[in-house]
Amino acid sequence: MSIHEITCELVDEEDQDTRYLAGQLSPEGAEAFEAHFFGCERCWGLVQQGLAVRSALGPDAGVPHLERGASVPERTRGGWWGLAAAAAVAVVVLGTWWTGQRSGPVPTEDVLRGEEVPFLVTTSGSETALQAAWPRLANVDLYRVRLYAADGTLAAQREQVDTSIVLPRDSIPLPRQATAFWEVQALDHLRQPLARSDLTKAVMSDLRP
Amino acid sequence: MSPIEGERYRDGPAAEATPVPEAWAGASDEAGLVRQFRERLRLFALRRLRDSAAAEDVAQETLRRVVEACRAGRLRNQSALPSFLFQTAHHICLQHFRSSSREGRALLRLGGEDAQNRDPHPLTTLIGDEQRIAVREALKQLSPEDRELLRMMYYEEMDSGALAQSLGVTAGALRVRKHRVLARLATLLNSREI
Repeated sequence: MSIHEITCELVDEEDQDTRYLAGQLSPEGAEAFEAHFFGCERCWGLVQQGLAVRSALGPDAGVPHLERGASVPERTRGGWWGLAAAAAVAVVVLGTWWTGQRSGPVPTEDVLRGEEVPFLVTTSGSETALQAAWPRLANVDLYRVRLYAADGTLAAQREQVDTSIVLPRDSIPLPRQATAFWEVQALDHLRQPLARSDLTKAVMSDLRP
Repeated sequence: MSPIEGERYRDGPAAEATPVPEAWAGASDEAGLVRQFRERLRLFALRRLRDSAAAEDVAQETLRRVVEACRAGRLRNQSALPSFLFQTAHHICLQHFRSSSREGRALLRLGGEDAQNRDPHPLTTLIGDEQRIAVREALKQLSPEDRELLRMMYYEEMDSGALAQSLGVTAGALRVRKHRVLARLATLLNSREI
C-alpha cells in the first residue's frame, strides 16, 4: 500500500483522524490512514492530540464540562479503543512536547548488548515519595527505571533522560510498608539495554527506624 | 483550503511525506528514526495485537530491521522510508499474530488464558500518569465550550456530521473550530515546557 493514497485534505474532509481513534473507519480505511500518517507529521500530530485528549477526558478526569443538552446524542463508543479509552492516555503531544516517561507491564527479559556492567543505585524515601539516583553513563540515550514489588511484579516503570527519579507514593500501587526494589537499565539510541543496575531495595521512608 | 490557520495543503501527496535525509548519516539518523517513528509503530502494532508488550516488541524489531537495511544500503530511496517502515511493521505484526495464535491455541489446550486477551487496556501503557495530568490541566484552561467540543469528538466519539448538526454549524466550520481548539491546547501544553 502506498502512503500517497490519502491526502491531508481528504483526512480533514472525512475527519479520518477522529474516526480512526473511534474505530469508525473500515479496516481498509484505517490501514490506509495509518500508511498516510507514517509519512505525514501533520496528520500524525492530529492522531497524537486526539489520543491525548481522549485519554485525559476519561471518566476520572476531574475536568469540568458543560451540562449536556437534550439535543446531544448519546455516546457511540464501541470502536477498537473501546475499553482502553477510559483509562488510557496518549502518546506524545505535538511530537516534542514530552520525552518518553511512561508506565507499562513487565516486558520480556531485556538482553544486554555487550558485557553486563552493573551500576549502583542510591535510594531514599519519604512519606510522600520514593527516590532513586544513579550515575550518568557514557553512550546512554535513556534510562528505563523499574520498581518491583517483592513478589517480582512491576509496580512502576518510567523511561527518562535524567539520572534521578521521584515517584509520588500515591502513584505506586503498593502498600506503604511493602518491600520494593529498584532496577535501572541504561538504553542506547535504539533503546537496546547497554547496562543494568543490580536490584536495589527501595527505601520506603526515611522516617522508618 | 486547510482548516488549520495559516496552513495550505501542499500540491502533491509526495510533498507531505516525512522529510528524511538524502543519504544515511549513521547513528544520528538512527536516533532520529527511533524518535520519529517509535510511537507510530507502537500504535500501529497495538491496534492489531491489543498487547502492549507485543506492540513494543514489534516496534523495536521493525526499527532494528530498518536500521540494518539502511546501514546495508538496501534502502536507496530515502523518501520511501516511511512506507518501508509501514510495510516492515505490517509484516512483523503478521508473523507475530501467527505465532501468538499458535501460542494461544497451546495455552487453551493447557487450560491457560488466551494469550491474545492478556492486555485488556492496551492504551494504558502508552503513556504515564504525569502526562495525562498535564493534558488534563491544559484542558481545564480551555473555555467550557472548547472542552466540550473535544469531549464530544474524542471521548463521546460523536460522528462529526451529527455533531455539526447538533451545534448548528457546517462540517467545514466544525473542522476549523476543531483545529483552532487543538492549536490552543497545543499552545497551553507547550507553555508548560515539560
